[in-house]
Formats: sequence, C-alpha cells, structure tokens
Amino acid sequence: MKLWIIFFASILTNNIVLTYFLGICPFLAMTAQISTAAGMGFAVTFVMTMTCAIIWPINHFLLAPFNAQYLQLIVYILVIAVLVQVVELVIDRYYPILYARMGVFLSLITVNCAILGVALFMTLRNYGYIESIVFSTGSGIGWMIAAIAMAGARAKLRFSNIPEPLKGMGISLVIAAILSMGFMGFAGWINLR
Amino acid sequence: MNLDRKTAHRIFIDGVWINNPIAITGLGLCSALAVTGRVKYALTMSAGVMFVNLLSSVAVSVIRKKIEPRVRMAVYTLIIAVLVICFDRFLKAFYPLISGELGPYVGLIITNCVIFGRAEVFASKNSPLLSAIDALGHSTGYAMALIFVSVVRELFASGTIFGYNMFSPAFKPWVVMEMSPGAFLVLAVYIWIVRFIQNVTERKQA
Amino acid sequence: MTAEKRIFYQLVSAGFLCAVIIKFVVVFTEPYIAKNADIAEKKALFSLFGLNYPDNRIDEVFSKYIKVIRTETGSVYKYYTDNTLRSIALRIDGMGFWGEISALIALKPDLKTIDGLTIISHNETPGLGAKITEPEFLSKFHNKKFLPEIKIKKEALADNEIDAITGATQTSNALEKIINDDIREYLAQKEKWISQ
Repeated sequence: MKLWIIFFASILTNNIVLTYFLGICPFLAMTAQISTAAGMGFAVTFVMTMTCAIIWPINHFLLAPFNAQYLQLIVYILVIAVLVQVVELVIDRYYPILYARMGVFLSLITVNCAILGVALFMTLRNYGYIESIVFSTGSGIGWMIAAIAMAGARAKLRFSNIPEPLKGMGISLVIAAILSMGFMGFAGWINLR
Repeated sequence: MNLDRKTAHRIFIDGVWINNPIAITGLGLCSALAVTGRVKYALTMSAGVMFVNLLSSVAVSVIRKKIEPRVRMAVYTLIIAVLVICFDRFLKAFYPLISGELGPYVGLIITNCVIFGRAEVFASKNSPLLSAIDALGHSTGYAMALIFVSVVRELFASGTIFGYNMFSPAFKPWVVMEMSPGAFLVLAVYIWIVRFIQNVTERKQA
Repeated sequence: MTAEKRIFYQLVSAGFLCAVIIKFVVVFTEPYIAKNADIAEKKALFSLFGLNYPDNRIDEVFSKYIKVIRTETGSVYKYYTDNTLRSIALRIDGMGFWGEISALIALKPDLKTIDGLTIISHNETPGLGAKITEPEFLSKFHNKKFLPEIKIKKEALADNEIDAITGATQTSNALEKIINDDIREYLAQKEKWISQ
C-alpha cells in the first residue's frame, strides 16, 4: 500500500519538477513540442530508474559499511555519467531506430539535476530498494506528465501575442507557475486510513 | 602578465549582465527556484556557487594545456565535485541550520550548468587570471538573480528581508510566494525585466 | 608516453588528489558536525522545557538542570529545578511519510499528560507535512492525555485526540504511530528511568 502512495505522491503532490524544481532546464528547453517532451520524459524516467537501481546497492554495500557517506556526491555523479554513456552505447548498438529518435536526449541527461537530485533524495529518506525503484519511476513519470502538459500549453500559445522579453523562457515559467498551482490541488487526495 | 583593464572589465560585465546566467542564458535555474524562499538561503547558495565557480575555473585554467581532451569532462566533474563536497561539509560544520534547510540542493551545485559551462567554454581556453574574472562575473550575475527573487519572495511571503521585519504586524502573508508557483512567477518577472532592459529578442538567442 | 597511458595516469592522479583533499576536509569538519547534532538536540530540549540559555554556556545549563538516562529505546531527559522534577522528555524516532522524523515529547511528572512536543528533524513535503514543525500544530499537544494512545485525526474532540494537518494525512498518521509506539516502549521499561 505504501508503495502505491509513494508512487502517486511522487507524480502528483511531490512532483519532481513542479514541487522540487529539479530538471528545470530540459523542462523549459525541450517542451516546444509534445513529441519532444514525451521522448525526453521516457528517457528521463528510464535513466532515473536505472540510476537509482544501481546507486542504492552501491550506497548500502559499498559506502555505508565503510562510513564513507561523504563520498556520495562524487560516486553518484560518476555513476550517472558512466551509466548514461553505457545506455547510449547499448541503445545505439541494439536499437538503432530508437537511438535515432531519442539518442540526443540521453547526452543532455547527465547534467540534468533531476537524476542526481532523485538519487540524493532517495538517500536522504533512507528508502529500501523497492521503495527507491518506485520513487524514481514515479518521479520520472511525474516529470514526463508535467513536461507534456507544458508542451501542450505552449502549443496553444504559439500564435498568441506574447511580449518580446517574455517569449521562450519567461512564458514557460509562467505556465509552470499555473501548472504547479494545479498540481497543488492534489494535496488533499491521499486520505486512506 | 599584463592585464588590460578594459579586457577585465569587458569579461566581468559579460558575465554579470550581457550573458547573465539566469535571465539571458537560462542556466542554473533549478537552484534559483529552490533556494530563493528566503534571502539567507539565496545568499548562502550564491556564496557556494561563487566559491566553486572561482576555484574550479582557476583550476581548470591552470591545467588546461596538460589535460588530454578525452578526459576533460571527467576531470572537470571531479574538480567541481570535490569543491562542492568541501562547501557542503563547511556548511554542515559551521552553519548547520542553513545546511539542514538547503538539504540536497547544496550537493546539486555539481550539476549547476553555470559552473560547468564556464569551465568548458572559458576556463579551458584562457589564462587563470581571466578565468577568475569570468567566474566572478558569472557568479555575481547569478547572485543578482537569486537576490532579486529571494527578496521579493521573502518580503511577500513573510514580510521580512533577511529576517528583519519590513511591515507592521498587520501584514497578511502572501503564502503562494513561498511555494512553487510564486517562485516560477517571480523568476519570470525577473527575466522579463532584464530582457526588457537589454532589449533582447527571442531571435537573438542561440 | 602514448595518449592512452597519459589519460590513465591523469585520471588516476586526479582521482587520488581528490580523495586526499576530501579525506582531509572530512576529517577536519567531523568534530564540528558531531557537536552540532548534539547542540541541536540540547537546544530543542531547552525550548521544550521553556529554559532560557546563553549561547556560549549550553553544556553548563544542560548539566545544571537536566538529567540524562539512556535506555534501549532512546534517551530520557528529566528536567529539575530546585530539586523538583518538572518535566520528562523522551527522544522519539521513526519513519515519517517521506523520511525519518526525530522528535522530543515532554510529559508531565504524573505521566498522564503531555507537556509539549518539538520536532528535531524531518523530511516531509514542504508546505504540507513540514507543517509539523510549526507552533500552531505543536501547541495542540499541550495538556493532551496520551493514554491509552494519542490520535491525530480530522475532528479531534477527546482528551487524547489532536487535529491533523490538512492535506498531510500520511505525515500525521506516521507521526501518530511514532509517538504511540515509542511511548509504549518507554513505559514498558519504566522502572529503568522512573526513579533515578
């Protein structure tokens, strides 16, 4: 039961980009079209889940027993960088069509603060293995849903008369503000006893 | 080493204003939204970014001629990560309350595109002195954005700036300013203002 | 030296240098960080008991008024003034909705009523679950009874019920469980700390 709650809460009430502001750069840059946003969303979810799946054992079996938690930052970022490279190679080799469509996103993901952020949150909250997987997948899906919503809103605004200084990043932020207000409305929904 | 005053000035202003990290280039946004609830946290984050940016740019510049091109990304990451860990430990040791509030966002300075960007774009090709000025310029620009946003947010969300009350006790807090929508909105306003003053058009963006 | 060898040596030396610097910084800051956690708990105790303290004499004030008894469940802090027991604080820890919650709950010497509650650390949602640290919520615990158990719920009417935080049901539930479970454990070992 708790797993479902973590899952849905990461998507709605604790949305990684609308509540915790992680992954903003691609959220603003890659949401000009819904297909781009969806593609990026899939890539983010995939990398996020894989990263946490690998980082959790590293933290629990390598760092914690040696009391080396202060190395977390370096180890995490290195793991993320290596993992993204490996994933890129694998996809390019075995699924070239998929790579042609989404390969470019993968390189951008390394510096995506969302990946490192989710890993850090998972560590901070002391999740078990399954909880970490659920949390990271949920966060990725939450990012994707927010990105698609943002892309949809921007598509509608394509022919609107936006003031010049506000075009692009500015108006996207305003859309994000309204989106996050909307998501805040989910706050009371988890009412299970 | 002759440092032309005009060159130094130009590099600095480029960082602070013309290529202001947040308003113009759109880098480093995550922290601009996350830590600007209070001016205290914004200043701490700005100090951290300035510290890491300055030292990493200088370090990268010093070793720029010796680094193998293929490992440069890894080496930049290592340098930045070490500096961030130092700053994080420093905060935890001497300013534990602030460290507790900022939480994982201090660690996320590693992924701050401003720092990485300056190392890759500028420090790897210029002398240490110029790189230092560039780093100072960009982190000052970053600090400017954070201070603006945090002053507005803290003022309207709790009536204080840096903890000092600005309004009478009858002030009703504008709660949304403390939460996500307020952060997005104030940042949008900041970008609007800077771009308006600089007369930037969308077409000019790369 | 070939390019590959140079890459290898550069990476290894960079890694080694980083490890050395980090180790040095960590070792240097470790005692300060440990002390900070201790000070945070002491300050939380002081605010719970309503004790004023000058910042530079925390340890002095602590040893003058508070007696610590360590048990399996956690530490028991007894607050004495003029040789009379005023309040007993229990350290409670447990899993909140998002992460660990650490708190101190103060009980009156009659061991029937709650004197107060203060949260030391948590990881709950900002704006929702994080409200457990706010005075508006914490003050609701004052003078409530905790036997047989406390309930944090929507319409709190009885002596042992406390109003939950709107929109933070999960955090409220978690906090309720932590308080009840830990108090039960402490009371089960009452003889160990009640009369010292």
